[in-house]
Amino acid sequence: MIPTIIVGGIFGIIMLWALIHAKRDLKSNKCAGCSVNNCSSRK
Amino acid sequence: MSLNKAKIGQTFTIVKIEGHEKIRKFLFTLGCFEGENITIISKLAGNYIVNIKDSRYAIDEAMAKSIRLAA
Amino acid sequence: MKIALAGNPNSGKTTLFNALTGKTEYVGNWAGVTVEMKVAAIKNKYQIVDEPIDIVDLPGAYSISPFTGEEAITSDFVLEAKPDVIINIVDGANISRSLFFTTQLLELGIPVVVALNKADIITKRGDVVNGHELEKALGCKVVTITATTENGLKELVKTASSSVGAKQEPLNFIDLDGNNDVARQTWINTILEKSLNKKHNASRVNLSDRIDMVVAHKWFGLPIFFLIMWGVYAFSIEGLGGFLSGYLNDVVFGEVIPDALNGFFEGVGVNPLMQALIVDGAVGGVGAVIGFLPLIMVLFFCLSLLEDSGYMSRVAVIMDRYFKKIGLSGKSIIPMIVGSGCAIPGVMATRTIENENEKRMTTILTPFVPCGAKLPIIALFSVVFFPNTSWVGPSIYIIAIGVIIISGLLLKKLFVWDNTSFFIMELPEYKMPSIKNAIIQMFDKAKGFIYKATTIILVMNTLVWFMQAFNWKLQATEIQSESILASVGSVIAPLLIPLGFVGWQLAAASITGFIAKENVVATFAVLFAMASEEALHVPGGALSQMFTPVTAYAFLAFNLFTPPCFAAIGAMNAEMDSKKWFFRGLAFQLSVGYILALLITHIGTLVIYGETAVGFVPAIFVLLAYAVGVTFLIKRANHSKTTLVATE
Repeated sequence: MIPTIIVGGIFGIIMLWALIHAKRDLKSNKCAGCSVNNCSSRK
Repeated sequence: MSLNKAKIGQTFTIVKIEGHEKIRKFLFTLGCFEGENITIISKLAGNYIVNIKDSRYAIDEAMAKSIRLAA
Repeated sequence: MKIALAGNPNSGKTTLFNALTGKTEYVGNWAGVTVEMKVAAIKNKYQIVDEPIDIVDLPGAYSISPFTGEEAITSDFVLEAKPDVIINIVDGANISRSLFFTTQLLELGIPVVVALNKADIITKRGDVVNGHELEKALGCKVVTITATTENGLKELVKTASSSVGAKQEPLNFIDLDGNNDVARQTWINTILEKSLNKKHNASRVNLSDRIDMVVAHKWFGLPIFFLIMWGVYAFSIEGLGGFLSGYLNDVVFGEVIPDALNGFFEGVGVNPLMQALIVDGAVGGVGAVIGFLPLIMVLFFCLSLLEDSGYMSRVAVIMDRYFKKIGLSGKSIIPMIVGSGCAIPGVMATRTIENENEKRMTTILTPFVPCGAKLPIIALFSVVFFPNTSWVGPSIYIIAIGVIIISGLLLKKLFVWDNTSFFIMELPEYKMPSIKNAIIQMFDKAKGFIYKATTIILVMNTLVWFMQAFNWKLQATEIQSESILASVGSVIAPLLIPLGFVGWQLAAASITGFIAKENVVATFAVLFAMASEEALHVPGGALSQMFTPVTAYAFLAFNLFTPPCFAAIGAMNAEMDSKKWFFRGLAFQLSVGYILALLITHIGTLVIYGETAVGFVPAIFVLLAYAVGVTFLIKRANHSKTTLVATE
């Protein structure tokens, strides 16, 4: 039980980080992984 | 005569640029206008390679027809 | 302090921008690479004054009056955003042409500093520039630099920052109300006689010209181009890239990491479901994609070398006569070549095309060139269904070219417009491609790829894993076909029957492909980790249950030739500038992918196996309906064309 919670918690934090970055990129001017700044496809 | 009839490898003086005003203005900024020189470097793949000022450009048959040169 | 970099296309602005800011913006040796404005803070090395400096890289322009979309950006920016000082990059390889723009910039009332770039080329040619005379004549400071070696940059920044606030007068012959263009050119010729001692005769045939005579040859040009592109993709997919990827996929992500993780989790006593989520879902899916990293890196390395050499503009020349047949000009090939890396900058590169309709058509066709994200799908299917062969990758590109040509012809017939395209392309001198640049680009793309994998793809995979492990009552289920994902996939699955594709998994994978094409691979990895003992990336692996080699190839074509990922679709929308065209484009792409897959499946299965594939009968109906629909649209377009002519 405990190991599952700990591992689950760590995984959850990683997922949260991934989610925030994916969402941020969806909102900002960069597609995740692209190197074009201020891309107009994001406006 | 128009550029597409001119001899490859020679330098000519431009007499007139025909065609749409936008294209004429664009060519002008490159240095292609009445009184300036243009050299025909070669003809490749259906396009003419020309030298205007210090740069090479590829232009197609339609553009070549609209550039009139001194004989 | 805002410093704007303005100058002719391919004069070195972006190279200077990268040197000053430490960024790795894309530099290619052809006119039209930079299509939008980029801003960044100057590097510490050059932050020599107290006030923080921002550098703005603008697309190239030959003059302030815009002819192309990118010139408009420069013109708008300079007139609206009012930078504190303009660094006008004058191309040392063509000073005379560059100065036209310079004379215009001097009229804006903003201090201008001329950066005479490519000093190395000036020296090599034996030309001599009298900077002092030039400064006197222009009424602004002139600093000689070589952006590629970062020579003279400190002095340039110093001069620029000390020019802020200075009063910039227009040249004395300028009549601010009249048309001065001819006067500009005359004036430029006059001052250059005094300040430029030219030894170099530009009208003599040089090495670049001789290379062009081979590379852009009437008959050899196209085969040489195909050979080069085949070499690049074969090397990336089957050669070095494929080899390294194979190792990563089979060993690292196939055995080492899963075994280690499973061992750890079992030893620690973690709930098996959580274990499966992490090992099969997250790591499995992401690993399946990251395994292809070497492939991507090799590809971008090669493309960078190719683009840096200056060869790309020659490709435009070669393709011009073929593209003219579908109503485009050679310029349209450039977005497609850029698109072979990523469709988004590819679609944006269509801004160099002035004719609106040509631009739109190119925008629709560009995503048909397989992008980097599609490579993992190609590589996966190649390994599983066609092991030990090297024709799959290159064949996709040949099909892409075929699709583009046929689509181009179809688009031309379907959508009425008048054709006044013409073609003029600057041919920069060839240069030895920079290995340093290629390596930087390679790592840049690698970073981006890993980032994409660990964010969006990770999130998608976890979601997919969850959806295939649980049913609608939120109970864990071993029976995949009762899962949430299965029911979602089953809604779309019937539409894939005419293509010979059976199974909700295929629909699910294709749908996730719209978020990022790599997801097709990742989704399969997650789905089959649970349902199959066999690994994914091996010949005859888990996917063999779902496809025959023929239908596998059709599925590959389906995912490669349908609309691209949402991000690229967004870019298409932005460039189309018209909702009508945007939806036409999407519908067109959807139908191309669908019909292509349909044809491959049924014709292929008939020819190679001598039997009909699943979904043969529906396929016939679909094909007939499509043929009727297209014929109708063409007739309607012809009718509009004749009424157009009649009303003139």
